[in-house]
Amino acid sequence: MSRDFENWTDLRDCLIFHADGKDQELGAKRVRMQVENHDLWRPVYHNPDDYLTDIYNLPVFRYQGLYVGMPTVFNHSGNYGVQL
Amino acid sequence: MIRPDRPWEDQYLQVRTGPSWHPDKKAWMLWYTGGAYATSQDGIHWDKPTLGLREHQGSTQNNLMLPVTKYEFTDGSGKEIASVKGDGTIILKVFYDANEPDPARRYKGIGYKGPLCCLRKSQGPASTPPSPPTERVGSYWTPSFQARMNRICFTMRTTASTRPQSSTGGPMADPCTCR
Repeated sequence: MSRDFENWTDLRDCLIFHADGKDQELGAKRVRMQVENHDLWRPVYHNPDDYLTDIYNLPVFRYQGLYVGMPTVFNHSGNYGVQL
Repeated sequence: MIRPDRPWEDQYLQVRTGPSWHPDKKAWMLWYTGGAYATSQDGIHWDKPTLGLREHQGSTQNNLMLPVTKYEFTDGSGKEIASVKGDGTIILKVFYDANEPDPARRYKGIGYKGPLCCLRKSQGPASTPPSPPTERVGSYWTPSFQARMNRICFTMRTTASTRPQSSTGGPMADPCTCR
């Protein structure tokens, strides 16, 4: 958070939304459904060991006295073949 | 409802900020990926005004506004997985701050300029070919992304994942470095 756009709070003190265990479970389920459905694009990179769900972004705006957030959830289906 | 119906929208839209309400214009304003701009009176029906600001395929008859940077990436085998170019600047997060007392500062944005933080640290001159990364850090786009616009550093998420390397072979910024 910032009041002047120059000085910001430490992000570690203001985490309000993140992907939890349920998100990981649902994300893996979604990737599996996509892989198994031949009517959909198959992910270019697919490795169940690499499944990972992130909150990609969370746009927030005010409306009718409320804060409305529209989270985007990103499902990793596999890495790019990089050998670590 | 806003849909990707213009040639420069590449069949999909993404947003990085919510719509901003302009109290004087009585309209919602939305900046979305590709540097495009749309307005709406009700949040449901959206207009994409012709701005005449940025050229796309020889024409400025579009709603493109913001500069974009695009990068080239390859996977571990050298296969190109993304190849797009730009001028070194990208601003994805724009909003209107109606509470800002200075009218000239009410449109605000967060962006970045310069090399993306990638998996590996700088290992030599620009001519050095990319080598396999040695660290497993980061998220999809950047390991621990910090960027700045003017004097603002903005940190995005950090998660364990991998990231493709830049195919340019240029030195990479150290992860977690704000330049």
